[in-house]
Amino acid sequence: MNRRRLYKAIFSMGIQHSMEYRFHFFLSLLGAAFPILVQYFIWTAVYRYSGQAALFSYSYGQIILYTILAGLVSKLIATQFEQQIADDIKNGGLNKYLIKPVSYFGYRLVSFLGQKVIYYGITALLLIGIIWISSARQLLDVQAVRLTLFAFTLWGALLLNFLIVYCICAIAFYLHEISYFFVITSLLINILSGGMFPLEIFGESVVKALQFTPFPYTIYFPVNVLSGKTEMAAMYQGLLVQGGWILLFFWISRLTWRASMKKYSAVGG
Amino acid sequence: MFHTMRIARKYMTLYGIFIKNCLIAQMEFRGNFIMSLLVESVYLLAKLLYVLVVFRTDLHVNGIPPEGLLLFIGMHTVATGMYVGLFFTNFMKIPEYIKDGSLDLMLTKPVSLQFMASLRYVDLALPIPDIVVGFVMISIGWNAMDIPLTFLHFAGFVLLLVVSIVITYCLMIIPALLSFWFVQTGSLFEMAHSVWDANNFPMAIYPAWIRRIGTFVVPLFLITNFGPMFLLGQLSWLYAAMALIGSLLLFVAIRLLWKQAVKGYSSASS
Amino acid sequence: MDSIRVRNLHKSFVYYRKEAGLKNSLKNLFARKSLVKEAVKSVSFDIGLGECVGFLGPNGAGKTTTLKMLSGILYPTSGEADVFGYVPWERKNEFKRLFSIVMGQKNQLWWDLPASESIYLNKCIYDVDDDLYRRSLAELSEMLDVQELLNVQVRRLSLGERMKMELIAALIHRPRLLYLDEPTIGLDFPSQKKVREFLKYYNEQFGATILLTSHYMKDVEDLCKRTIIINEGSLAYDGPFHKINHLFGEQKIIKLQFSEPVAEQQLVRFGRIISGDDYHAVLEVPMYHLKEVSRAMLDVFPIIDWTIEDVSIEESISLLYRKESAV
Repeated sequence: MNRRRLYKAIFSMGIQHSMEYRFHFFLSLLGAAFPILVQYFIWTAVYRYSGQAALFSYSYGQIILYTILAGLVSKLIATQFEQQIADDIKNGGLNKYLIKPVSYFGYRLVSFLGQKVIYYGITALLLIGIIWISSARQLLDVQAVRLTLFAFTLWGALLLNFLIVYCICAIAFYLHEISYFFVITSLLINILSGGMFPLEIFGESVVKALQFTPFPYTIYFPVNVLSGKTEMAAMYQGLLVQGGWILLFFWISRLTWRASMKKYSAVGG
Repeated sequence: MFHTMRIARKYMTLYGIFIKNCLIAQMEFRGNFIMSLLVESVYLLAKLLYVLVVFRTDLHVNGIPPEGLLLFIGMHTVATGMYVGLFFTNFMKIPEYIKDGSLDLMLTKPVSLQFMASLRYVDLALPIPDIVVGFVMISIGWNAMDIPLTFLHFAGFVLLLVVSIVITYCLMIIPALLSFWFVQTGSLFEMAHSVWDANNFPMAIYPAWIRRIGTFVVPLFLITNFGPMFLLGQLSWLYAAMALIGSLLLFVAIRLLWKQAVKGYSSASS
Repeated sequence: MDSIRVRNLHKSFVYYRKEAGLKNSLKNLFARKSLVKEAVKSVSFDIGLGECVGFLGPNGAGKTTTLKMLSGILYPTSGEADVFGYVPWERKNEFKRLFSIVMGQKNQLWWDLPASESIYLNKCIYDVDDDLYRRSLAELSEMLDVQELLNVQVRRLSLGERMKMELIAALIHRPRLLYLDEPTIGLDFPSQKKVREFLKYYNEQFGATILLTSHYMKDVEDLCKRTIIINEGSLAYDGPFHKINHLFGEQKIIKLQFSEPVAEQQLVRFGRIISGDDYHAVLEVPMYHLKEVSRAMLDVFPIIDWTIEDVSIEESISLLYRKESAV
C-alpha cells in the first residue's frame, strides 16, 4: 500500500470534515468575538483611568492587538479530538489501527492538519485585514521578516499544541471519566499560553518561569513576533526553542503512547 | 387564595424532591462530583485573572476603587453559580427532550410542563466554588466600601439578587426555547455563554449605547449591576422596584413564548 | 357507557425534504419543499368502560399518533374526541389525573436513582394521598413480584424489571384509563408473559379501560377481546379478535430456494404463491397443512434451503383487505 496516498486520503478527509463544520466554525469565531470585545472595553477603561502610556510594558494599541490576535490564534490551534481519542481507547477503536498499515499518531496528526488547513486560510484572511487596519492606524510596523516568521511559527504552534494535547490524551488509558479532565487542561493550557491575557499580568518572575515551559510558544510567542514586541534576536532564539519543544514533545508522545499501548494490548483493550 | 397556597405548596414539595433526587444521584458518582467542583474552580480561576488585572492596574471605574469593583465581579460570580447550579443542566437538556420525545411524557403530567422541563435538575457541585468565592468578594467589597450592614441594605440586595436570578432564567432559556424550531442549537448556547461574561465588569466601562441595549432591550446588565449599584448608593429604591417589575414582565413574556413553542410542538410533530 | 368516543379524528403534518449539498441547503433556506403527511385519516370508534382494546398495525400506520392525540400530547388537525367527558388536548389537570401512558421505548424513571424515588415523585405529582400510595405501592409491587428491587438503581435492573417499575410508576395514582404503546417491546418471553398477566389483572380488578398498541400479536390475543386495526392512517378493522386471528396465527410463510428451476404451476397445489422466480418461491400455507405440505415439497422439489416464518402484520393486513373485497 502506498503510504503517501493513504495519508493524502486522510488529509482530504480532514478537510471535508472541516467543510462540514464550517458553519460551526464561523459561529465559534463570532463567539470568540464577544470576549475580545469585552476585553477591549476593559483595557480601554484601564488605560483611560491610569493615564499611563504603557502598562505591563504594552501600549494601549499593542494590548488591543494582542487581545485580538491571541483570540484568533487560540481558536486556530484549538483541538477537538480529545474526546474521540478517549473514545477510541475506551471502546477498542484503537484495535483498528494496530492492524492497519498506518500509525494512530500519523492518522490523528494528518487528519488534524487537514482540518486546520481551511481554518488556517480563513484566519490568514482575517489577519491580513487586521494587520492592514492596524498598520494604517500606525499600531503596527509591518516588517516582511516578522510576517514570514509569524507564518512559520504559527505552523509550529499548531504542531506543538497538537503534540501537547496528544500526550495528555494518553491519560485516557488510565483515567476512567476523562471528559472533565480535558476541559480543565485545555483551559489551563490556554491561560498559561497567554490566550486570555498577555503573560506579563502575572508579573515578571512568572513570565520568566513560563519561558521554560512549552506553553508560551503556542500563543504568546507567535502573537508577539507579529506585534513587534519580541526583539529580533529573541525571535530567532524563540523559534529555535519552539522547534526544540516540538522535538521533545514528539519524543515524549512516542514514549507515553508506546508504554500505554503495551498496557492496552496486555489487558486486551 | 387557599387554592393558590395549596398549589404553591405542591410545587415547593416537588422542588424539594427534585433537589433530594439530584443529591442522591450526584452522591452516587462521587468522582464526578469532585471533578465538577474542579472544572468550575478552573473556570473561576480564569475569571479571577480579571481581578488580578484590576488590582495590578489599580483600576477605578466611575470613581469606584478595585475593592468596590469586587462587588460587581463577585455578583457576577454568584450569578454564574446560580445559573450553573439551577438552570444550566436543564436548559441543555430541553433540546434532547424535544428530540427523543421525553417531552411527550412530561406533557401528560398534571403539573406545569415548563416547571418539569426547566427545573428538574439541580447541580449541587458546580455552583459551590462560584457561590463561595463570589460571596467572599462581595463581603470584601461591602467592607472596603464602608457600606453599613443595615436591614434595608440587606433586603434591597437580596431583592435584587432575586431579580437577577429571574432575569438569568429568562435570558438563558432562550437558546433552549429556540430548539423547538431549530435542530442545531449547540452554537446558540455557546454564543449565549460568551455574551454572559460581558457582565464580568460594571457596565460603566461600556459606551452608552451598549449600556442602553443591555438594560432595556436585553436586560443582561441588570443581572449583576443593580445589586452592587444599590449598595453603593447609585440606585434608588424606585429603580430597584422597576427592576423587579421588569423582571416579572420578562418572565411573563418568556412564559407566553414557551406556551407558543409547545403549541407548535403539539400541532406540528407526529 | 362509553369511556372514549372518537369522531373523524384527523392528523396531518408538514415536513420538509432536505437535499444534501451546500447548494441545496442554501436553496432550502429560502424555498423549502414542504410535503404533507396524513398520519391519521378520519378515524372514528367508541370504547366502552373497562374495555381492553388492542391497536394493531404496521410501523408508521398511525397507532402512536392516535394514542398521542387521545392523551392530549398532540392536537388533531380536525375531528373530535371525548375521553371520560374531557377533550384530551385541552390538557386539564383533572383529565391528566385519570389516565396514564406507558411507552415501551421511553422511560420516565431516572436511571441513577432507585425506582422508589421516581415512583414517590409521581405520587406527589398526581397528589396521591399517603394512605392510598402505601397501599398501591405494596399491592402493585407484590403483583409484579418486585418488592425487593424497589430500592435498587434503575440502571442495575434488567429490561423486564425496568418495565415492571415503569408500570408501577404509571399506575401509582390508580388511573381509570391506561394507554400502552408497545409495552412489551424488547422484553424476553417470560417478562412479556408476566407483563400481560399483570395488565389483565389490573384491567379486571380495577375495571380500568386499556388501550394498547403493539405489533406483537400475542399481546393483543391474550389481553384484548376487541381489536382495531389501523393501516396507513385509516381504520381497517374493528371487531372481535377471534374473527381475524386466523389471519395472523393460522398461516405460515414458507421460503424456498431451489437448485434447479421449478415452474410456478407445479407449486400452486401446495399453497398460495406470494412471490417467486425459477429458483425461489415464497408460499403461504395454512398452519394445519404445514407438516404435510413441507414433507411433500421436500420430496418433490430440488430444495437446497428453506425457512418457515410467521405472517407479518403488513402481510396479514393485506390478507384482511383481500378477504373483505372477496366477500
